[in-house]
Amino acid sequence: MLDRITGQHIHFPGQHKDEEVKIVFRRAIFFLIMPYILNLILLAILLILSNTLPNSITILQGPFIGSVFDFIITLIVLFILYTAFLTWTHYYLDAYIVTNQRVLTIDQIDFFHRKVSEADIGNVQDIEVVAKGFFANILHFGDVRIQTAGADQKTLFFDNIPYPYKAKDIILKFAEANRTVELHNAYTYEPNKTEPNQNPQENNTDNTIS
Amino acid sequence: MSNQLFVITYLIILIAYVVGSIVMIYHIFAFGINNRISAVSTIAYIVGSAFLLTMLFINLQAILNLTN
Repeated sequence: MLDRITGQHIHFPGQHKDEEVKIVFRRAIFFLIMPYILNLILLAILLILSNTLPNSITILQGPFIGSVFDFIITLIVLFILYTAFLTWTHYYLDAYIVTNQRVLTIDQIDFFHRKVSEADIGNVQDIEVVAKGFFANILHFGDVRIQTAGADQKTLFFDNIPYPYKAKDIILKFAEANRTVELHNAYTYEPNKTEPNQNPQENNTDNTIS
Repeated sequence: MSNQLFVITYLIILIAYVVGSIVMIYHIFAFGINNRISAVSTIAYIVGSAFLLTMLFINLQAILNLTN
């Protein structure tokens, strides 16, 4: 499940030039399916009513009222389609991204209302997993709280993601990998190796005075 | 008068629906992180919407024919 949502095609707004997306988490599919089930129930009730009501109510058998009734039913179906797409949009735009440099949470609160939090992945210090409730434990989803160390100490929340324990291990693995790379860079850093001087006047080693 | 009312109602619904849809599609492409998923979901939505708006238009025509 987690492997399927990783990919090379993923790019997000504000991505750095040399930043590589490692994994993307979304809320569990349960939170997308539940509103869709409600929509389907509403649609089924609507279809049943549109077939049974004209037989039981004589006014609806008239051609004009019947056409208006059909118009209203189609309008409600259109509204259901709109809300279904709205639900999908909110689900799709909320994402929790782990890159080789940062951990980001993107929360689409409403249209034109977006909240993005980020932290350096090397600063990830502690990860807490909370799986609370019947559905969370049966369907294996839960909250992951990521605490970071350093000057920008903060807590990032990955809400209701699938397989939170596995997600925790993956995030810790990437954080450890990042720290190892940074440690390696620190050890291989050569302080005596100076940059070539850009000013040709200062490179003049002969003691001639012009 | 009744005809005009139905036509105006249809146009208001159409405009509100199209504006709402454009806002959603804009968000999907502007802030979505996978263009392939964005494209597939948008196409499915547009096809479904076009079908239902056509149905609505056919119903409107039936109403207008009966009021004439």
